[in-house]
Amino acid sequence: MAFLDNSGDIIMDAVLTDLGRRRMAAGNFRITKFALGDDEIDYSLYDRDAVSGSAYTDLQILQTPIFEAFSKGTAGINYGLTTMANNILYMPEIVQNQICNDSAVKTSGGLIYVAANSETATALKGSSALSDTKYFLESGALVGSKLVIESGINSTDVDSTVANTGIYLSNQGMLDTTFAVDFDSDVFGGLQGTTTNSRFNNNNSSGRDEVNMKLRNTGIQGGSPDRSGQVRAKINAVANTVTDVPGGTPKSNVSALKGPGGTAAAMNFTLNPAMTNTKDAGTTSSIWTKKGQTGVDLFGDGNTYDTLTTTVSVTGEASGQTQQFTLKAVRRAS
Amino acid sequence: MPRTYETLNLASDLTTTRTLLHESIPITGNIVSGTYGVYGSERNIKNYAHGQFQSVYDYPYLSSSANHIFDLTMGYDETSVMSSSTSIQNAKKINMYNEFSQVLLGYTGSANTIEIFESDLNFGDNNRQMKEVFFVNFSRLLVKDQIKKGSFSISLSTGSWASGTPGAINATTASITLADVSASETGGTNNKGNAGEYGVLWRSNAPASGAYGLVFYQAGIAVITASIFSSSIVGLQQDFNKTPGGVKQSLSASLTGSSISGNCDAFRHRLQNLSFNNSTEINSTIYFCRVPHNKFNYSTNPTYTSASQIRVKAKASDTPVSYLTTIGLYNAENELLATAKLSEPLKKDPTTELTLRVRLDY
Repeated sequence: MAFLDNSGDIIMDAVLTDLGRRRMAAGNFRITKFALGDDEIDYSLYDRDAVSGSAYTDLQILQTPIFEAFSKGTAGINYGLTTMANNILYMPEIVQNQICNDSAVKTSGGLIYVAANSETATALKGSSALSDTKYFLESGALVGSKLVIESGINSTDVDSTVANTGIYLSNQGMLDTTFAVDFDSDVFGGLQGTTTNSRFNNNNSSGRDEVNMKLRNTGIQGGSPDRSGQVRAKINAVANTVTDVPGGTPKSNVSALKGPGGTAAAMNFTLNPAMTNTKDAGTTSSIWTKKGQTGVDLFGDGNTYDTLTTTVSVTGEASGQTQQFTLKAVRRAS
Repeated sequence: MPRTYETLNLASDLTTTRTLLHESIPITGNIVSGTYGVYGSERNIKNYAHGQFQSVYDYPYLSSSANHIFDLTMGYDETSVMSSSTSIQNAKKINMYNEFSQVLLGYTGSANTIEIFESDLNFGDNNRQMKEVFFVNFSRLLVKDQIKKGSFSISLSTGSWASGTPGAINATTASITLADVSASETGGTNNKGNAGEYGVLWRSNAPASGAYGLVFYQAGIAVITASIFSSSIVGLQQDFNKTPGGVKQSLSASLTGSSISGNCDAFRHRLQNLSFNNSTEINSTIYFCRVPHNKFNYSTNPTYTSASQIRVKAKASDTPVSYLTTIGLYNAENELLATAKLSEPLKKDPTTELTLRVRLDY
């Protein structure tokens, strides 16, 4: 009889993060909990139907090389492992809605423009490349184009019914009633989020869609615990009751989700006030220079712009799902 | 569900350990003299305008590659026969002796007289006093937390100055080796001084052959009596030192008639080998991260689902699977304070429970 293999003893050396070093220097370094991450893993490599046998289903995943520990940012735990009931088959996704009223639409480059001021918004609308307000947000505006997101099951395998919303989302604790929005506080000084009297449905008494996402200013809560150097604000969501209603507005005319929706939210961003000068105001904020470019002729129409590209992360507070959006802040420079 | 945090039971999921690491530090004589220039103008020796000590580097000190390895100085007690108003740098030599003595040993008597170094473990009995000494003050870079007891050894040449090459020592005469052979982790040291423990440096690795210095383990300082170069021990009569001007000096003539840096040059040129083991104390906290069978079986990784369906499942009743690569240690505010990585992905499903030991060193 052979001996058991006991070489699986796992001892790992931990590396302090930047924040850990700061906490240690301040004398309040106290570890109380742990979490697990799997950022390196690409689950699309999981082959449920491996022809060579079940031993090959995760062979590629298990051969994934692992990075050494990072000390900055999220240190390789951007998403993390989670706990759910064993009989879950679907998890919600966060998708951008680009079809409902006033929803911002990505340009062909996958960007959403943010105009620094009304002068810039006018110039963007007048450009041949954008020409429509749906292609850009205007800094701090409570009305007009906004970034609309939905959280729900994005699969045609599950019918879009209110009952399924309960079965697949509410009953599983995955109904995102709030979203955490992480962004660079150098670029954005504020955030507008959904008001509670917003509506996102297509099954009102007349069978018509009723989508009206309203915005209000939302405070920044503080530093993001998940993304170093970013701040976090929380926005509320409203019920997403867009369903397939016989005789009503087709769901696909309103919702970006293919299955039952959970919630919807909208947001807009306020650029750092120092970055919103009009072209004649003279001074250009150093943030444009340090993090972006200045004086760029974006559309070949002779107008030049200061531009800066940044990433915003939106995380469902119940589902833990994250969606990132690339925003391009622009200011007309001449 | 968002990322799952598992609370550590700080009574049972945490332990601390203490580990001593040792490194061998060999310093050969030709590093400290002869390699980077001729006697008196070596580029790895830094002398200062104040003239109280000289710094020895392992490479020309103007280079960013140079590491400071030790400082060298000498001095004598004010009651030494060498002390005289006519002696070169007399006050500074006394001051250096007093500074080392008051820091390493302390004071004695109602008048708070500074202790005198003795080549034994009892500095209060006034036996075997060392009133004229050389101090080798090692860099923290080498010593780390302390010199390992019983590992210190220094070999000094006792030969006369050879003619010809400036600074060369006649190699025909045997050298002296001093070592702390009687010191160990369990005894042979004194800890009543002001700067931690010290041991005695014995000649020729045999306590019976006589003691000629001390080594202070935590302070990283060796104190070596100048008398080791006297005629009664090694027969040096006329040429303990030879000035850059070519004048040979006996030990007493050098101690009184040469500057501190001049005496340090002489000592340095007689240094053949020096070695010790340093010690680094590593305190570790080990966190036992216990992963229950019914937790952490799903992931919020964006690739975990395809069209909202979990990729590792074909139907709801299939066993969920996740693969962990990283452990994050958090405080109560969910701030990530430390991370640890696995060498390869570790499969987690409801049939497995894991205990991951994460070590954090301080």
